[in-house]
Parts: sequence; C-alpha cells; structure tokens
Amino acid sequence: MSGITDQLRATKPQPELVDKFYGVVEKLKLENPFHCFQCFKCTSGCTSFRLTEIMPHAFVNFVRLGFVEDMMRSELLWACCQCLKCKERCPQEVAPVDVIFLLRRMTVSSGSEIPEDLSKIIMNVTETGFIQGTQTVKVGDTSVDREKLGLSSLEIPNAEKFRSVLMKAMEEQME
Amino acid sequence: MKVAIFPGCVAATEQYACELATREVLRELGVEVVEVPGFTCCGWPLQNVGTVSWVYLAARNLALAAEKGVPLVTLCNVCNRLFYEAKSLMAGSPELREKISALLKEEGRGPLDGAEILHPLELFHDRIGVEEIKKRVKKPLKGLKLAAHTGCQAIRPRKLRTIDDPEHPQKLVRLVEALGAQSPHYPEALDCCGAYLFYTRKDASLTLAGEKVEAAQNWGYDGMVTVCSSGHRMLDGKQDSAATTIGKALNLPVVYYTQLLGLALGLSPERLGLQLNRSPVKNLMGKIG
Repeated sequence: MSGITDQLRATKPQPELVDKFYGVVEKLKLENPFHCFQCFKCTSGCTSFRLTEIMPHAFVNFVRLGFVEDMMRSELLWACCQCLKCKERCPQEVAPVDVIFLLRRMTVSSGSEIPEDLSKIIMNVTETGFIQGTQTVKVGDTSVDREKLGLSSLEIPNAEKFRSVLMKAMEEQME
Repeated sequence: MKVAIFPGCVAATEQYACELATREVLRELGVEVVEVPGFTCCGWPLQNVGTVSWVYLAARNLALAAEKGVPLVTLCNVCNRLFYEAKSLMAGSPELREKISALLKEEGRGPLDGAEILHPLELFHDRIGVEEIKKRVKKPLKGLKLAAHTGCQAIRPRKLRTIDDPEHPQKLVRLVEALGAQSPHYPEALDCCGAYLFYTRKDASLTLAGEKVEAAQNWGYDGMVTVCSSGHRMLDGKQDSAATTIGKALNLPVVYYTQLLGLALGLSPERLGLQLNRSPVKNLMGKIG
C-alpha cells in the first residue's frame, strides 16, 4: 500500500471521523462504501492508476477500516481524475470517486492545505464567479477577447448579493 | 425551438470558439438562443470544498435558465454532469434541499428545480436529428477520417442520466458521419483527456492528453472531434505542452463538433472561431478544400 498510506505511521482508527464520514454518506444518500467486496474492478480500470499509485478500492477499504484521517492526509487524494469509470462499473454500486471527493471536502473543512492551483481557482470562483478572469487569446499578431469576438459580457447583475450568498453557502457545512 | 447557452468557465473565459461556433450553427439551424445574464461557474471547484456551496452554484444557474423558461445547453461535459448531480442530491436529501432553497430565496432566485438540461449531443442528435442535419449539409466533408471523443463526464455515470452508452458511445460518431466524414472505430474513445487533473497533477494531466492525441495520430485519423470545452482545452489548447510532457511530436487537428458542422453547413471558418484553435486545423481544412 505504499503511497496510499504509510502503515508504520498509521494512526489508530478514528471512530469520530468514521461517524462523521458515514453521517454525510447517510445525509446525502451517497452509495454505501460498506457494500464493497474488494473485487478491484475500480482499480483495474482506473485512469489515474496508470500514472500514479492511486487505488480506488484501497481508499474505500481504508475508510471502512476506520483510517479516515490517514486517507485525508494521503497525497493520492488529489490524484483522482474523476473519469467516473469506478462509479460506472462497480458491481456493488459503490462509488470510490464519491468517497475520494467526500474525503477532500473533509480535508478542506478540517483546515488542511490543498493543492495550490486548485486553491487558486476556488478563490477565483468565490470572488468573481469563474475559475479565472477572461483570457486574452493570441491570433497571429493580434489578441482577441470576448468583446472583440462579439460575445456578451460576463458581468453578474447584483454581484455583491451573489457573492454574499455564496459566502454564506460556503459557511453552511454538511461535511 | 429556444435554448439558453450555458458556457461554463472554460468556454466563457478562454475557449471562445466553443460559444462562437455553437451560436453560429444554432442560428443557421433555426434554433433561437435566449440570453441569460448572470451565469457563473457550475460549481465544480467547490465540489472539493463543501456540498452546500457547489450545489448552490449549480442550482442558481439552473434557476436562471428556468426563470426564462428555456432548456440550458451545456458547453462543458463537467457542468452537465454537475447539474444532474445537484438535482439528484437535492432529491435525496431534504436537509440539503432546504438549505439550497433558502439560499436561492435570499438571492431572489427561483424556482428550485431549475431548467431542463440539454447536452449538445442530445440537442443535435436527439432533438434536431441526424436526418435533418444530413439534409442541411451544403459541403459534405468527404474523405475525412475523424476520431470521435465524447468525453467521460457526458456518459458516466449512467445511473445519473443517459446521454449515450457509457461503454460504447455512438451519437457523436453518427453526427460526424451525417456530415459526410467517416468516424471509424476509435479504440481510445473512452480514454480520459486529463482535464480534471490539471489543477492537482499537471504532469499526469498533460500526459493523459498527450497520449490520447498520440494514439489518434498513430491510427492515422485526420483529426479529432470534441463536444466539451474542458476536453477541447486539453486536446487542442494544450496539445503543445502535452507534446513536450510526453516527449513526442503532436500535430493532430482537433475541432469542436459545432465547428465541423458549421463548415459542412457552409459557414465561414472565421465565424466558427477556427482561427482560435491551437492545433493545426489548417491541415484539416486543406483536406476539405
């Protein structure tokens, strides 16, 4: 299991985090990881497994065993490319990708750091409503943008209100 | 028929050709585009942060289209999947539904259940129809052999909604063939473009994109066709960086289906934003004549 978690340094199982995890699974009616029988079908078809050490079945299994915090700390949490093949193909209707994303949200709500570029686009969305500002695109020697191409402005009517409601939505945690 | 175009961040802020070409072909096909000011991000980045915030963004965009009473056509597969997922989560969780409802009310938005969601494949294949498109073709794209890349997020998971078969998608193939081109069996059709990894594992992301382009190139396709702005940004927009990452020479023309359709309808390449593509689309256009 190298890469997923370091078993020599693994913490004791954390029942309170397990309860929190299952609480969200229950509240949001997510697919239940307990139905997994470890057939490895998800990992054998995992896009990211070709390039990294991520193993979706192992994420599901470690969470079931109570090692939620270890999974939240694993760098491989951020190696999922969300191709959704694991969710589509699981014979037990478990969704490893949903386990991974729930762990990501628990990581964020615990105040841990997340990859810098992801953090940047999240900030942009909360400030402007989009992952980035409108880009200027080069065409030969000239540059174009939405306006030059005759596309409408992305301005959000009553943007202040939008931002304040979004901030409130971000404070409303279910994780 | 009236629709709203939901560009999503990538098409709205960078992949301008996607929106340009969609607008041009819809005008040509007699589909009216209703303007909806105020669309934002679908909520995807916030899926990493908290359920309430991302579902709020998705529900808010759906509510904006619903206020105009039109279906919303998604220019990015990710946005399409997220909208369905938001609806499904709200249907399953009264607590979440209540929270979102209160937030929308505070912003003065509604109704909660939002608009109908249309993927471009559903719009062109199911609503307008392959036969109608065949009839409208003025310049058949004879002799072109194109790889059809539908994209992960449009076809999976099938439990959420079925736009096309998740293991053997064929709608884009039929739509390409309706234009007179060929789209023979593409073994890597289900391979991921890497878009999602771009913000967390850049090298892996560009490797996925590069290997996908390389495989299509090695099979001898004249080009690749996309229906998603996020996927297109990887396969066309970042083809050069992907080539550097995998250490191979890549020069596969990659076009949006709407650009290809526009060419077959006789529209000018510039109006379809083909000058904005980063891959060598001139090679493809040279073959069309």
